[in-house]
Amino acid sequence: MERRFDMSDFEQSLKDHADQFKMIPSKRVWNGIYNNLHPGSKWPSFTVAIVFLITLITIGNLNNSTSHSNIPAESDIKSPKDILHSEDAKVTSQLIEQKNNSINFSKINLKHAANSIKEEKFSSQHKDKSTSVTNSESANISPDKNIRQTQNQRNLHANAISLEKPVTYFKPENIITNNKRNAIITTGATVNQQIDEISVLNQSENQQKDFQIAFNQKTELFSNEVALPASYKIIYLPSSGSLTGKLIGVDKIEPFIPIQNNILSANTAINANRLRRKKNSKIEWTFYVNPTISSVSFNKKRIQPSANNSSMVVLSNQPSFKQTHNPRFGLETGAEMSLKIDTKFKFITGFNLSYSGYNNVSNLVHPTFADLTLNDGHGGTYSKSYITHFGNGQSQDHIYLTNYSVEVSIPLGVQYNIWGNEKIKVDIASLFEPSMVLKGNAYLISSDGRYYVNDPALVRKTNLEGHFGSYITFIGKKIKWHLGPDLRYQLFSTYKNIYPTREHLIDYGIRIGISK
Amino acid sequence: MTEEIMLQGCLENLSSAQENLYSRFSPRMLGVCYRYAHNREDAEDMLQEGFIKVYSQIHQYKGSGALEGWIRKIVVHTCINVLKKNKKFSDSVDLIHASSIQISDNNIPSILQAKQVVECIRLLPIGYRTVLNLYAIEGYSHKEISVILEIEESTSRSQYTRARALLEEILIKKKILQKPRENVRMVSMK
Repeated sequence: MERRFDMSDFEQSLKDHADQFKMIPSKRVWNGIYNNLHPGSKWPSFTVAIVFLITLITIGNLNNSTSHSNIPAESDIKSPKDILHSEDAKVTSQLIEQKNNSINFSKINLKHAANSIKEEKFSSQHKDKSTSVTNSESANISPDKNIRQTQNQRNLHANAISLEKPVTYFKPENIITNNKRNAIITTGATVNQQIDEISVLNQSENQQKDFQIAFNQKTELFSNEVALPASYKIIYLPSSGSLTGKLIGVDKIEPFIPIQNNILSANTAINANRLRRKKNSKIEWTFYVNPTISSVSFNKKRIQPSANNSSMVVLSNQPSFKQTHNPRFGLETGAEMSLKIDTKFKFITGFNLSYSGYNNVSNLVHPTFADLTLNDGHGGTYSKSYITHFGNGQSQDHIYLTNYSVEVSIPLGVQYNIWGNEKIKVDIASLFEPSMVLKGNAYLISSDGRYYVNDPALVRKTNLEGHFGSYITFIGKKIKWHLGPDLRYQLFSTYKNIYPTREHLIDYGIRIGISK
Repeated sequence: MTEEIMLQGCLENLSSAQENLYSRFSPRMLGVCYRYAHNREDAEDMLQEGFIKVYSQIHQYKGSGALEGWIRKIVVHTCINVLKKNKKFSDSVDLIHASSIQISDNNIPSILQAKQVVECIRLLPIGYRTVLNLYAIEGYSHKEISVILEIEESTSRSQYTRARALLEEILIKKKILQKPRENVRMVSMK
């Protein structure tokens, strides 16, 4: 194309003026171009989606793992190499030696095996007509102690399980296929009713043969004693009635969970003194992040002109103008300590750090004077002038002026548990947060509503926030996840009382917390 | 960043250079798009498409002319293509005022707000506006316009004459242009 030279003045003038015309494109345009040119970096849509998905999957897995806590994970099973290097290997070798010399299942001396037995822990979750029963024991016996002492220390008494009605069981092979009848260790347990099956969860393939002893299906009484290395697990399936007896030197013993039509019908009565899980501490720490969308509400107080001040500035301070603002992304993070008051209520305190703010829609103007009409604290007003180049226009060439504040606060309040079971709890929390502004910026609209002026000195240094949230707690095996909507409202105005406009920041967020 | 470094960066697909190029030329190019588009959103879409073409064809720029002119040419063609795709040229045009407006070449005020003029141009029907933009502002000949818009050359001429007449009428109504009292001549068809 060649430029025509026969343009008239009209055309030339039109061209000159049209060429002067400029517009600032919105960020959307560059984002669109950038995403097109660099398709591999489509932050945040994909990344956020992936992070969210991973979080959900993790929470789901953690919750599922609790329901199968009776069943050892494959990762728990040691490799032969590990076993050889472990303390258990000593016992294993002793046992193998014993077996090679003379295997007498009824008279295996526990002394020879005591080295391996570490410490016992027996835990159970008990509930009438419960949904699950879990017993575990781990044993650790000092090699120098005699067997009687060990037995006295480690005996488990009154391990009784009674069933209200016949139930259908999963066969062990359905659950632990590679440990089917690998070994049975009866360490003095007395069983006074018929046992369908008893199996010991072995730790490695190499040891299966060594421990394929004394398995006796349909056995009514076990009186044998045998050494059992630590970290072994016994699974037994009572058909009916109750199981009582001593289990000595057994690392873990777990009654198999009977399931019938997805309803667990075992009714257990377990010695609470020995079997009760350690009570949780009353204090719990939660660490959280809370991505928020920050917005703002205004409450404009009309300044009444005082008798001695009726300037045009004051008279023009009418709240008829429109202040356009957009929300911004914010963030809260911190640690929260909860102290149990009773079964339902918790006292909450902690430490919170937050960033919140919003964007004012403005436009650039030639530098000009703008006034703020401020209260003088004695019922009168005075005017403060600023030089600004930010107009309160919503033209196409708009720019954003960011008002923000970074605050630290100490939440104080209560949390109430409205519903819950062993896996999920639903809580609501109501808190007050005395806060201190660490850093902030403020663009305030001038009294005539035409300009924005920048005066961070008008920002209140301390404030008070009201906080309300509802959280779902997913109780995992080791940790708890907290997830739920969160609302934070600034109770006092962002600005000092001398500024007539009351501004209250509002943060809407989703809190993601983690606790032990 | 100098123009050479910026171009080299764009050739290497560096986002910093691309952003620099964009921030340097996008305001003026959006003004161009705005004259063709129905609204700001359409203009931004045109700008986006235009700049994507600019980056993808940057290796074709040989440095023989001004970079802005080269970018502008791509952007204008993108605007035309978008309009063609949307069949905006099929809009009927009311020609009732086209032949009766009295104008003078000397009666455009020397100082006009660019935005006012552009907004007046945007009041024209899309067909008029496009021809006016291409002929009076971009400097294309009627022959070139006929090829670009796939219309007859005579159609381009008549469209332009009517567009100009209508624009002047709008400018007068908006009091940007004073109605001439002397040295008046009637619009003549070129």
